Amino acid sequence: MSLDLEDLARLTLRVRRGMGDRPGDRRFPGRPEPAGIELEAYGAYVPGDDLRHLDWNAVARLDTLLVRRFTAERELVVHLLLDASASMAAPARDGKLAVARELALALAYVALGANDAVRIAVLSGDGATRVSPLLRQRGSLARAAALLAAVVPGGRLGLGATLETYAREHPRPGLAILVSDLMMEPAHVERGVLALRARRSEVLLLHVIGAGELDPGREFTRGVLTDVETGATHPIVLTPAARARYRELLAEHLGALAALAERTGAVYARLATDASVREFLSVELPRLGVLGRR
Amino acid sequence: MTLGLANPAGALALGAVGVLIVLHLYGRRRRAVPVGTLFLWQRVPAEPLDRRRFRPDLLFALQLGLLLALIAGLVRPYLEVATPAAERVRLLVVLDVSASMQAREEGGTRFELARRRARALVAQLLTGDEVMLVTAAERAHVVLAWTADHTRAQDRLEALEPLDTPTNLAARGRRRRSPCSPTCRARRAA
Repeated sequence: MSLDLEDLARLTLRVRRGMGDRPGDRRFPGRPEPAGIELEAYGAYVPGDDLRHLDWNAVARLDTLLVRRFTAERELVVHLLLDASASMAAPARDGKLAVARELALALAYVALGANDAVRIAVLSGDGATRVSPLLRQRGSLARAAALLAAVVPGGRLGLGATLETYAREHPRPGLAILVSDLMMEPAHVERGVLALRARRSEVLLLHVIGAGELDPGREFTRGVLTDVETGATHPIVLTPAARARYRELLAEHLGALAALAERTGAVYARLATDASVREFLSVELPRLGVLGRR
Repeated sequence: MTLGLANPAGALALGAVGVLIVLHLYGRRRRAVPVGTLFLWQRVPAEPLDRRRFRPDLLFALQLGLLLALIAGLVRPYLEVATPAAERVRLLVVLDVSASMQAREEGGTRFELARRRARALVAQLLTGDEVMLVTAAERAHVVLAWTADHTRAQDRLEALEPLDTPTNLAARGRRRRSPCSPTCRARRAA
């Protein structure tokens, strides 16, 4: 089922951190600035403050020099980080990459519609990350769509190191949205999230999980499991005991991802490939406070 | 009481059981299943995949049962309750197929009436009873030798047609005297 982007026209990404340097439409309360439109607070005058912002009524009433402080209005940079490693194409029936693409495009649409800047980074395997220039305004959506459509999964991704490199090369803070299957040791994910947080970015972890990963019985009952990234093999007969053990380990893994998100101040949301992307965007993300109405 | 097969050649279909076993073993081969990662699976105990050892499961049993039922339908086994030899009936049907039998009577031609009567007699036979069909026209001709296959006899009767020839009763009489054995109770119809 394809997603109708027009349905998302009234949505916007909600952020509290990730204030950039460039002036823009986003208001970041709590960090008052000497210039702006919306008055937020008063501050004691210090030499160097613009005299035009002195509140002369306050001077007359309190005999104290007070300057007006305004709500910061900046542009938000949305970093859309799409995992394009080989694991996104396995199991093939799940179509994890297609769902991740659809989700990334929808979020790019929402961000561009709210006059946020969007940078798309395709995290391919073997350290080859392709990064788009900053895209602004809805006219850039076609470019974003073309870029996402050209993504071919492949290679082995070291997510922690890749995100560290990205954060170092693109230090402007913003909202970093990672769309990945997160089928790796949580320690690798945490390393990457901490690198992004260190650049004062707000982090959103969107976990695209295959229906065949939630219930492996849909894919096989016995066989030699082959890791598409490393080529390692592991023979398995999916007995009830093996299935129960896998479910237990998966629940443990999902719990660890949620715990690391809480620990690092990131937001974690999970989307199964057989679930609706539209519902995820219109119900689950607003519930988590990530998306809201403009 | 004896067990027989109406179509013994159908037993060749039992070869399909071998094919089923081969397919079952093929399904148990070491199939490579691509997965995104093994880091969870590596903590699930590995199971050696022995493809040579034949371990039928419930699905195999169901498939085998279905296949055997199909084969049974093909070979058509039957259970015959034997009639004591003394009570066995041997029915000789001599049917006049000369041109005079084409004369019309009430209810059809004479030949049709005669054939209807003959078929009714065959239908009354029990398992093990034997029947022979002889047609009589210019010459007597054995259409069907002694047989216990009543269906075949009915088919042969149905296929008979009257001829455009006169009747030679002498030839018919010679035929009538020959085939019955002294141990059976013969019933003769003409």
